Amino acid sequence: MSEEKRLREKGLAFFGSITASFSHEINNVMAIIAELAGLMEDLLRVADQGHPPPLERFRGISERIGTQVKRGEGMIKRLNRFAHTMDEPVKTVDTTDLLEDLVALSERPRTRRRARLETRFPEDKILLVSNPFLLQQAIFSCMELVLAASNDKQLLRLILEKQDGGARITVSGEDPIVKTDEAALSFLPILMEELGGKVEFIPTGNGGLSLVLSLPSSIPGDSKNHTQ
Amino acid sequence: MADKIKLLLVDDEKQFLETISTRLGMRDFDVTAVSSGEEAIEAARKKGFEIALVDLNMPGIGGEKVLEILKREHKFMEVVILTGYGAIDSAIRCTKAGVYGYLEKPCELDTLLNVLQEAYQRRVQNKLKFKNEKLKEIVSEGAPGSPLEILRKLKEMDKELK
Repeated sequence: MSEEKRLREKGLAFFGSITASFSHEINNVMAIIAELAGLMEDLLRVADQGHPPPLERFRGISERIGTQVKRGEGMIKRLNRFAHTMDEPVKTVDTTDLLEDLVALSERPRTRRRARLETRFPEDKILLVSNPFLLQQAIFSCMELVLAASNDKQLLRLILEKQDGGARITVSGEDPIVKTDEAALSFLPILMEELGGKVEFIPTGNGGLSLVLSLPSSIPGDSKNHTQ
Repeated sequence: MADKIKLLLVDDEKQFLETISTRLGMRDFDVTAVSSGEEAIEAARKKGFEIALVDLNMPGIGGEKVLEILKREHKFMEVVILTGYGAIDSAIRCTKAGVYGYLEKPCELDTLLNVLQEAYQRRVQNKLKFKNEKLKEIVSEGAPGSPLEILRKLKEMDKELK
């Protein structure tokens, strides 16, 4: 399979994986709202039979509906931003915003493995002229690799730092590696090459895995117009 | 409470679990709600549930595995899957594992109630069928032995029916 075809197929698989798991989360929100509305109907039916309407419970349910609506809105906004990362192959990217979105979008795969996440992002923005979709794909691949390499319930660390005008992103796990996804490991350098950066696989002291992505301030040789 | 159907409800989405549990509790169900597959298996070993309503995608032991274990350990328990992540391949696997119903969230409460009632009816029928077959077996053994022997066999049968 050609490198270009592999990139396209892996990109589609990543897009599918994120949208499928995130739409599942949105569906959960809808299901909760539907049940809360149903519970209100149930309570009204009881009130219709002559019992005093439980106003406090109505208030509580209404608040919970409001919370779920906000949760759903936030999810849809993130999903929408994620879809728009495919609009332009190269643009100015705020790496902190991008990582925060990715952390939220990848919550389901993490919680399914009961992994905890610790993040460390700098206070100052790190702006890169890069391909936001491929960048998210590369970071997500690292998270998947670290999660898949160990048992459930592990601590995953995601660190963003400034480096030579560009950025350094470290994804590491706390637990020793029990298995590695060789295909995913071999694909990561291809992705990083597209981004003009590189990946290093650094074993941690306790037998764990640390993946370090070094990204340039802009993709070398790219002469396309960049949006700010 | 004695006449209510003993229902085990499993879902990792706590808000959903709490609300659906309240709604079913207002109807014909004595609900025990748990938020993981591990807790569900444990709860089922401690209390005799008649029906289980199980989510599919959960951290740790997922719904398909829970279904498999519940069906293996509790002969007459009927299991209904309620998932936000329905797919044909998983529905086929669940059917092969003996699931009674496979529903997708959000689900109309009337639909859910119908499926749960039907699942309960099937459990009752299966138990009756099993009881009839066992009784036939005892009778067909010819001279059934002493009254004490008959009592022992009937007790064994009751134990299996629980």
